Amino acid sequence: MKHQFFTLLALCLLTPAVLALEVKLTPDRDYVEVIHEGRLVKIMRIQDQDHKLEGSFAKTSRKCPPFCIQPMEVAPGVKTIGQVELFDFMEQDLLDGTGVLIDARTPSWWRRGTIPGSVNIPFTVFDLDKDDPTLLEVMDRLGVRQRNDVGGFTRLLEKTGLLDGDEKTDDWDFSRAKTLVLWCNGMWCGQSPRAIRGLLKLGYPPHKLRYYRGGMQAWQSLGLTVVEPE
Amino acid sequence: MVSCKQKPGVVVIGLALMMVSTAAATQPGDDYLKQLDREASELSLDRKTRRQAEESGDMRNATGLAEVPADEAHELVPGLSREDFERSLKRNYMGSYTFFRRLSPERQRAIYDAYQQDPDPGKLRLKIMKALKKQ
Repeated sequence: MKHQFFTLLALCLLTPAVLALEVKLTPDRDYVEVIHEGRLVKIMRIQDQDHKLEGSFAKTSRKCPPFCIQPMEVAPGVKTIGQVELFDFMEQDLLDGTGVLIDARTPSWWRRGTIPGSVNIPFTVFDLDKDDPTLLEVMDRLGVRQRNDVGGFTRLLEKTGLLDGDEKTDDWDFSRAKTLVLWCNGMWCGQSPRAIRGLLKLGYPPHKLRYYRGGMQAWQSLGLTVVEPE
Repeated sequence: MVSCKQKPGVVVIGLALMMVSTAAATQPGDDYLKQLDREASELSLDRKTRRQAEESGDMRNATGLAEVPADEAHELVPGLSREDFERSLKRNYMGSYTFFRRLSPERQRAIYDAYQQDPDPGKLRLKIMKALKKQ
């Protein structure tokens, strides 16, 4: 009986150590949970420490152009982030619905695996005409409102500061716009930089945009969880 | 050095090349999209990453989820009853609410107590996440 008690006690003491992951995200974070297509997904790293990446994201070279190395800063005022900042974004902005994680790649890429928590908004959407229904739907999802009823006089007052014109253009109201993180295939991918430039052209405030430059290649090279959209 | 006078063919070829490259430059979008699709069609996922993706099929359902528009998000006001607190959390902080619902009744109670002490949503979110990880 006494022996059994000590065995049980030893097991209880050992269990947390046994269950603890050896390959964590950060020293204090084993995993991050996100909501992806209405489900909770746990983002963690592959635990096999001998594993080496295979497949397309182990490839080093693609023809440039178009697959050219992207600069660290995609545009003035747009912050470039890494994985840890992305985890923070997932646990805060994404969970609270004040941020959107955007896979800016074309659907043919999206279908073959994406970062959990992402929505697919291809970069081409931001080049559409301002009245295009697809663009309107996307902008609405991002918390941006179209401005149809703004007269020239109102805009003049806004521009002169007599009316609140912060984060408003002739066509869009960005005052309630969500914070966006955009990503694509990685350092050699121009899809998310194009999406960011498209958003900036529409008037999206740069301080509400983030560029995850490492993209899918960095994500997979760290053995992080990928989901295949249903 | 080859002069144009000596080799009129060179001029013709040069002009043709210029025209082709100009045409390519005027349709960068189409070409780019074609190259993207070609590259994507050859895409293969790493074996273990793929297994991870397949395993994500057993993800738990997060029922009752609805996206909260940014303009409808309000701060948590102090002094709410337990019921109103949950309603406010659900309306304004859907992610935190989803995790809150997964806590045991005791831990949910502790979060509500913490809210009564300090209704700061950021601090509450952290407490919820920590409580969830302890479960």
